[in-house]
Amino acid sequence: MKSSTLRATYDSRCQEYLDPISTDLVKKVSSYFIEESRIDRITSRVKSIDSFLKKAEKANLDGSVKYKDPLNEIQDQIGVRIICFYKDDAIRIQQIIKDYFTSAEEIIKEPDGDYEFGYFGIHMILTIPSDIRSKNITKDDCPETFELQIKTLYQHAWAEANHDIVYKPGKELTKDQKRKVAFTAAQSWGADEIFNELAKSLISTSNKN
Amino acid sequence: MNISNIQSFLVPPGKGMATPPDVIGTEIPTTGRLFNMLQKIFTEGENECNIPIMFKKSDEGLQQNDVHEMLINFFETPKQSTGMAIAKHLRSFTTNKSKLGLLFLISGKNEQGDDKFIVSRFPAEEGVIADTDQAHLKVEFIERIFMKSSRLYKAALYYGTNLRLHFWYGYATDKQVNSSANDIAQYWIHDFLSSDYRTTSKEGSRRLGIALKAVTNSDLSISDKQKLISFGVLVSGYDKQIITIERMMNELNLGTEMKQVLISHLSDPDLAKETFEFNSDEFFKYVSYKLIELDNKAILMAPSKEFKNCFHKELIDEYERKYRFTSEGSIIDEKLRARK
Repeated sequence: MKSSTLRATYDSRCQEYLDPISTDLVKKVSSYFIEESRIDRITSRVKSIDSFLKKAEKANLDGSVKYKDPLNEIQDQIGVRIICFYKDDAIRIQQIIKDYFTSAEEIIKEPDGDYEFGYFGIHMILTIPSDIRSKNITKDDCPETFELQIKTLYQHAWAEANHDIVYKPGKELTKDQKRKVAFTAAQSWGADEIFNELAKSLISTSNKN
Repeated sequence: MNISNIQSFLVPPGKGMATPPDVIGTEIPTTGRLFNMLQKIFTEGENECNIPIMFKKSDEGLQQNDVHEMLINFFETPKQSTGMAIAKHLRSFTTNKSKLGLLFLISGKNEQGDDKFIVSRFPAEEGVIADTDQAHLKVEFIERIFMKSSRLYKAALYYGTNLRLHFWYGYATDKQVNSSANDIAQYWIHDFLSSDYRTTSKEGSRRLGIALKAVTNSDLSISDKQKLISFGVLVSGYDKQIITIERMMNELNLGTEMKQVLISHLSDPDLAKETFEFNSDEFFKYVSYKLIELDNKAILMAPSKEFKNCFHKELIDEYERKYRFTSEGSIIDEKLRARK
């Protein structure tokens, strides 16, 4: 599909299906967490046309096209994000999501190497529930899935800054810059660990009192 | 709607066997009476297969599933060898209780021109064949009759334009999903198709709970509310059953009008037809307490399931429809509240 046709198709899909579904999804996801504590925010977004086209043009390492059918294959056209306070909260939230949504994929994103620091977060590809995705919407109109990310405040903060100054500009980093990025990731990871430990001891102590 | 290929396999029980009996297969010609019958199955797949299912992800949490791969592989190259992998997989879950089965793999296109795939299993039944030869009646016992009308018939439907993604989601039919024998209930959808229901147990039960709570808080008449509340108490009997809201309403004789009222409080009327495993505990989270308000301003409240045991109800004036409620117990707490 030509880039201009893909742009037009995706644009019309956004208006007709993705935008309203995204709005409904954030309401639905939020409804499961009304009584849950330590959730900073629940947001949703529809992938922008430019981001979608950029992703659709991605190539594999061997140079072959990564997405032969991007309108179907790109599964994060709708994204929902839950930001919570501490690491154990993320696990609790993941379990609640699993109780009410079916998932096609569920992975913990983390750097490959044991000595590496970088992006951390829970990513799930979930089925759009049938009370939101009407039966009349065909499989080619709109994907059957959306992406849900669960992150702590520190994971979110690092990922946002990294996206803004490293990923989006797409410039090659110097060795020193790479170390600085890894350092900030390590700092965020460390803060998350310590806050989680503190929360475990202080929150359970305050509940006992 | 066009069928492009049909492969058939006689699948014997083989679960847990070190050397299971062979699977024997043949390609079915796309003409003739058998083809006509299979074409009907292919055409009616959308009506017949009404349980939304999806493949299970891999143990690593990835969107990968061996059965999904087998189906795609067959659909891309429909022949005996690719179908045999599916048939042998079915054999590995088939017990003597599930019986010998005839598996059909039917591939083609639907009315919209999308790829369409039906996996259909006829169980072997025993029967009697009666034939007439001039003035004589010939009656014979037959061991292997394969009938679609059997309550053991099972099928699955997949369609779409992108095999890898669209075939991840399908629809099944299986009348044995509530069998008390776990291996029978799990056999078709969970074991052979390696799939789950698309609506989780808690989500389906929550939808019903929220709808029932909303409807009983609306301005319906007291008698209508009573019908719905009784329904709400009785559904607890469906705990752990694979069911639809529609079937619960029918089996508990909710009545056409009340059914419509309840369905109108679901966010989409089609949800009443969706299959899920009912979870009584989840349902009662939304309708946990039953409350009765009297014209003397008294309010009686107890857990929905226990209300009848908490209060004894006695009709004291039939003309005025006045009741006396009595309850016995030790006081364990008292509260003042600003609102009802």
